[in-house]
Amino acid sequence: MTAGLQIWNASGQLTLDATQRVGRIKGSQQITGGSGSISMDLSSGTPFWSFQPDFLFMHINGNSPVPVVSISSTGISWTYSPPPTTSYLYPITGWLFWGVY
Amino acid sequence: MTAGFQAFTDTGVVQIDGMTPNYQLIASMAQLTQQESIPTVFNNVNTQFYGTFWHTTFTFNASRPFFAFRADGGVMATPWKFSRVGNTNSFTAEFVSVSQTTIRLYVFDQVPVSSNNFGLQVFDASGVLIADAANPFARIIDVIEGQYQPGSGWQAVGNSIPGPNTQSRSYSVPVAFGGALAAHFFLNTSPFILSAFGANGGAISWEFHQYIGNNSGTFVGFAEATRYRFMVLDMTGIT
Repeated sequence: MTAGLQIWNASGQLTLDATQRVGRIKGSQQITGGSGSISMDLSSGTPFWSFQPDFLFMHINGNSPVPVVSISSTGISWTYSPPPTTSYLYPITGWLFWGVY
Repeated sequence: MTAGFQAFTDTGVVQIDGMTPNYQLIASMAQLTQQESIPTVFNNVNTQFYGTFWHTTFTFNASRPFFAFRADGGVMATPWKFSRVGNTNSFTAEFVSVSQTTIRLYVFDQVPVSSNNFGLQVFDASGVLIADAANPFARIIDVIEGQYQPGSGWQAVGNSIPGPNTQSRSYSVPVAFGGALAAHFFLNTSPFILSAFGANGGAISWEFHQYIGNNSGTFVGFAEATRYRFMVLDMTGIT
């Protein structure tokens, strides 16, 4: 490597150099069953998102849609598919995180 | 930016931008899964049903955590639940595994200001610590996603339940799964089929694992619930 930052840990292992991409936090949002979107400049790397669900299983009828997330260099949006019924509807809630790497 | 510190990869991608918090390791924990009966679903009269899984629950404090994990011995494991406790900074992360194993949980977050008296710390313009060379960074080397049941929306007729569809990939460094969202499917009390992720050094595999029952029935549910997604993190130097 001819330029860039290098970091070693206390054992002398290289833990970061210029060949490695690192994640940066751009935003987070608790999502609770509705659609939403946030416009944001995510062009300084490859955008990524992560959804950490509060639960995967709830009611025995399985009427628990998961968020469908899209991300691009200009922002992030999420939505849920329409349920087959509104009875015992428990959309999967949780925290959505996004950033760039 | 007129002052501060920035770092870039050798291809010009930003590593530290002087403004945005970096994800860095703030805690690592290891726990052995145990055979436990855990709540699965309830019915219209509030009868709670349970399933028996190899299971463990971690509790930790963080602000906006991003978790990564791997299980010892290449055993496949699944993030089952990830909850913030009320409006606090306390979180729980539950995992199930295919067989008994030690799950290693790595919590990445905005790093707290520490009393480290060595290394490099980067602050943003308002004085918030955004990078600290004393903490390992979340080094993302791959993002993998897929879906076992094609389509989207509710499906209740005509489709079979997908099989395990085991896949694998290899890297030249030890890795862990970051921000994993598990594909999941269930019918009543059986089957329970979820994404399971195994890592052994740099070799990973993942599948739609039949934890309880099998895939002999008809698919009923949201197709997109069988979507999975995870990041592969370089764990060199992180134990």
